[in-house]
Amino acid sequence: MPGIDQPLDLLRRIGLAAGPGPALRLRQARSRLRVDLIVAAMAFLAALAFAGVLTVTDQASRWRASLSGNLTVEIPNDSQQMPAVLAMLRATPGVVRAEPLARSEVAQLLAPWLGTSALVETLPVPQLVDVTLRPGAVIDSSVLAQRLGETAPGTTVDDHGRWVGQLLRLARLASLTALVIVAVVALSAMIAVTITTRAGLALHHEAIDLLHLIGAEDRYIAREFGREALWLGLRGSLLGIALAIVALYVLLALAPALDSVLIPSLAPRPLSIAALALVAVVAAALCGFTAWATVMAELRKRM
Amino acid sequence: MVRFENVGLRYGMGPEILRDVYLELAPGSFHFLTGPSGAGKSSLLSLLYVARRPTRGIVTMFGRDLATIPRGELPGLRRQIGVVFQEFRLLPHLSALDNVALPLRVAGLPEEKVKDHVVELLTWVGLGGHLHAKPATLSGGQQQRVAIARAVITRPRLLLADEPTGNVDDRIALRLMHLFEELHRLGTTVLIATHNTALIARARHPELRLDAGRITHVPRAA
Repeated sequence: MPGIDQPLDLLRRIGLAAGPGPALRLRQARSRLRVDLIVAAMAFLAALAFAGVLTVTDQASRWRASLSGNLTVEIPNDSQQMPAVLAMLRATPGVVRAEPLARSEVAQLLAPWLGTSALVETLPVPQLVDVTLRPGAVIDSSVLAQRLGETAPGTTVDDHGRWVGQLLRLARLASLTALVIVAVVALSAMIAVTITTRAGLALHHEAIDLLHLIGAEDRYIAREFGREALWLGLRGSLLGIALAIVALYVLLALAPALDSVLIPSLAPRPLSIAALALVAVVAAALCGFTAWATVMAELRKRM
Repeated sequence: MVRFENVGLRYGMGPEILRDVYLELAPGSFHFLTGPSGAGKSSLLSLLYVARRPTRGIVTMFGRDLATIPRGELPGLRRQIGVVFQEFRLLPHLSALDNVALPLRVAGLPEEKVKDHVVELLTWVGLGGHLHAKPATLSGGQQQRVAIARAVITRPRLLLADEPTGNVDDRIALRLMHLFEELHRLGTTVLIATHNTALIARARHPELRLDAGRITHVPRAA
């Protein structure tokens, strides 16, 4: 770009860095109003909540992927139609595998509830067929059950829809709760920035009056406040997010039992960390914009 | 240039500080504003540098009624006015150079032009050796010269000065008056509030006398 020979020049031109001798000594106010520490605390909470959203969303999609590619067909215990049912299933478009579960495997599935007693073997538990579908294949389980029922009456097909639905509803609720927390934290941070900006305006009112009298537009003054809040917000949010990542790893190290099949892993993935970095940028921009908008609104009340 | 018609000013519910003020400053004129302390000189000046609007009457600046000028156009209006405040009002964290450069930066002048202008002017007012000094390290007279340099750096159409020679010796006062005269010669309208009768006598410009909120002697526009 012509005329811009240093990165600082570029930042100055787009209003992100002060020109030589910024008109307001906002850095002095910073020592009184540690908005960066407030933002750090807010960003810490927001990052934890946001990490929760990412983890739950990720886990929910994995639940859906792992369960939606399977069907379980239950044939009454006394039915002799297993071979016919298997043949029908294997001939069904979208089915890549249909294998009956051995009684021992069924007993193993029931073990958590009925124990491992030999008596279980004698119970009239239904015969199960584990069906694997081609990825993306959609099979109407009720239509399939009706077809199979004509051959082996009493046969049912479970596509785990109820189970997946409940899990997904739970995941959605958890995500929504976390997003509400992020929104509340963002709102609190904006209120904190508004209050500190107003305090800054009061602290610098003489300099601001002078700037107005020599012809400064509101946006000239607002830019200084916005710029300062942006950098403080970026610093604070990076600090808060870094602490949140450390906290997640510490939590993971202290509670390995949490990393089980159903409870999502708390370990932040690279993509999550990148998303959290984006949160830092958004938080900084929010701080900068809030300060800028506060100054513009306050100055508009003056002559 | 500037016209006051039946102007009154009061602060809050207090008494009127300015009453029935009629005033006209023709383009390119030079006036002194005199009057005892408390007569309302600073209040009158504050109306002139558009720090406030009158509580009654009509103030016309550069041909525009102050009451009808949208707020967004006030900065453009104020950039045409240079003000030397009695208490200087320098920003303490900025160097002399940055204080004087402020009106140019506020107006968006490119940085490469700012410094040359400012250094030249500060050198002219005898502060070439104090470019980077903070106001607190300067004497009262030096601060006053920085304030004057800041007021004239944009070569304003209207220059208002409140006791601009109050803190300097006669030699510097004379030099500053030459600066004001030079600006006047270049077309700037000048109004100087002062108690310095010797200065008024020497300069031979018309005098506006403010007494108890009223202009009691209004000369013809120069």
